[in-house]
Amino acid sequence: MHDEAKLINKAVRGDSRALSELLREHYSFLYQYALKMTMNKMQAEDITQETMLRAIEKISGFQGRAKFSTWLLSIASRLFADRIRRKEREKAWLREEQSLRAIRYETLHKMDEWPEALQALGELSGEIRMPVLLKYYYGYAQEEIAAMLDVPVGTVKSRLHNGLKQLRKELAKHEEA
Amino acid sequence: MKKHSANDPDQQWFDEAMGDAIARFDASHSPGVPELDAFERLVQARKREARKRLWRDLTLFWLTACFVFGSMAWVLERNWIWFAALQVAAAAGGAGFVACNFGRRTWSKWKS
Repeated sequence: MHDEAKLINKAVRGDSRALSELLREHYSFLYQYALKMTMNKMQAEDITQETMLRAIEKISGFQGRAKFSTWLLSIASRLFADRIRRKEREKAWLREEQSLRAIRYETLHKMDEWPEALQALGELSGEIRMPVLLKYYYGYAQEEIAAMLDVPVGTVKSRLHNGLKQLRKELAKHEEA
Repeated sequence: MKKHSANDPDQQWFDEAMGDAIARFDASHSPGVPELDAFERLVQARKREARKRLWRDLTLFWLTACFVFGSMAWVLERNWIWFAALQVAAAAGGAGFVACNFGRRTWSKWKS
């Protein structure tokens, strides 16, 4: 922790090696978040790379009010939210279906199973999946999520409510079947 | 990762129904982390690119500023009424641009 603070200080002052070490330390964490958020391997790689490039550009403005990992997550979340906004609506559903199928296939290969919980999570829209993961998996407060995603707290609350409702419904459906 | 609130029923439900599956998903998809050298090359290349872009933008800014200032000085010398009209038009355009952007941002916040 102390080491990380030192690295951050050096990186903010322009030390390229310190910044490289920080990015390397957070690479897996960032990629895993991007993968859960997108449920798409290629998009996750793209977002991880783009987040690191943004971090390199903006590191001099990092004030340390939040943890470095939180800062990276908020950059990645905003990049993904921008992508969702830019996506053509009619093709989005088809693309999400295809990428979910691809990640399901790969996970089956690696874990020997595709839990219903992941299927339910994958079926949430990206806009809803992000706050659900940030709140219930990463443990951020609603206000922090609102700041990270640059949306009002009320929006976060309603997305969390809808997200959990949909997850419960999907899992109940699977249990009944 | 942060601490979860233990007495939130939604949190408890999520931990029980989803937490384990997501943690295993994370573990099975941990990426191969590149060597430190690769990160250093990326950082240095990006910084170089950003510096180049900054110089290009600064050059463009000063060239445009010189052109605008020169043109205005030329107009002022020839006809001060035209100069005043241009100033008023520029001020109105600026105000309109700011109002438009502010309106769009408020609208998108309200919509979300």
